Amino acid sequence: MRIENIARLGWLALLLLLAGNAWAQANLEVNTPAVAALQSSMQKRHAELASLYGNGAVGLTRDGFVALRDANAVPLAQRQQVNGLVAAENQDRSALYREIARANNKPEWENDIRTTFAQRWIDKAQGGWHYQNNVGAWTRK
Amino acid sequence: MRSLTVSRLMQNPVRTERSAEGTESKCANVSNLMGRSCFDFAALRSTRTVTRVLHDAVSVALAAALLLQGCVTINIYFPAAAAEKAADKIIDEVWQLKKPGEPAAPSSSTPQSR
Repeated sequence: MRIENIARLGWLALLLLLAGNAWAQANLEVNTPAVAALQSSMQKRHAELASLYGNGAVGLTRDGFVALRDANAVPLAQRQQVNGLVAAENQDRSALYREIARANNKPEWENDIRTTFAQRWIDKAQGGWHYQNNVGAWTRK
Repeated sequence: MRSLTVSRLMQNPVRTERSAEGTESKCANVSNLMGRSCFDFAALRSTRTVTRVLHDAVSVALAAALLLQGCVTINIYFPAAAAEKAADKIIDEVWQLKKPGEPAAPSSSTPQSR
């Protein structure tokens, strides 16, 4: 009886440790004011960017950012504005990846987070939008 | 006949304590003669040993688990699945792919994920 109890206690402790580990990895903290602010800023900008994604002027890069892909698709008068949009979007994206890593006390995760986002932006992109494939070539979805 | 039984009874417990080997057969003899079970010292000793070994094994396993936990906490690998989940949540909001609570946006004007 005593032997069984000791063995059972040992297993219980082991399972608790493993469960604790699994729980800690189940979620990534993203509910911070900084993330929320970046999210809302990007959401507002998306209204302007959506048409640029659609006509191929701007595409999704493989490293989690956006880039001016075809300047000819933008009237000359608007090019500067589009450049500004792209720069602002990339600044927000960069801050977003950094902020998520920071919110989880793992600044070293920033690159992994950016890579994960890069894949998910592309996966969720609409048909007709352009993105960079694995070797960096522009591809139409 | 009776004297023989008594002499055996006098000898047997002493022998049982002295040697672990062959205890069973002697005990069996005594049990047969006395009509009740005899105390098995060897079995008791072996049970204690098993308890001690098991206790040690569990302690070692616990120590290993704690050590592992420490290593994992320090060099925790990137939680890819959790990151994807977080990315999806943020992208859905930035691109307005899904309203919270709604499984999928049915209207054609809303950007759909593919």
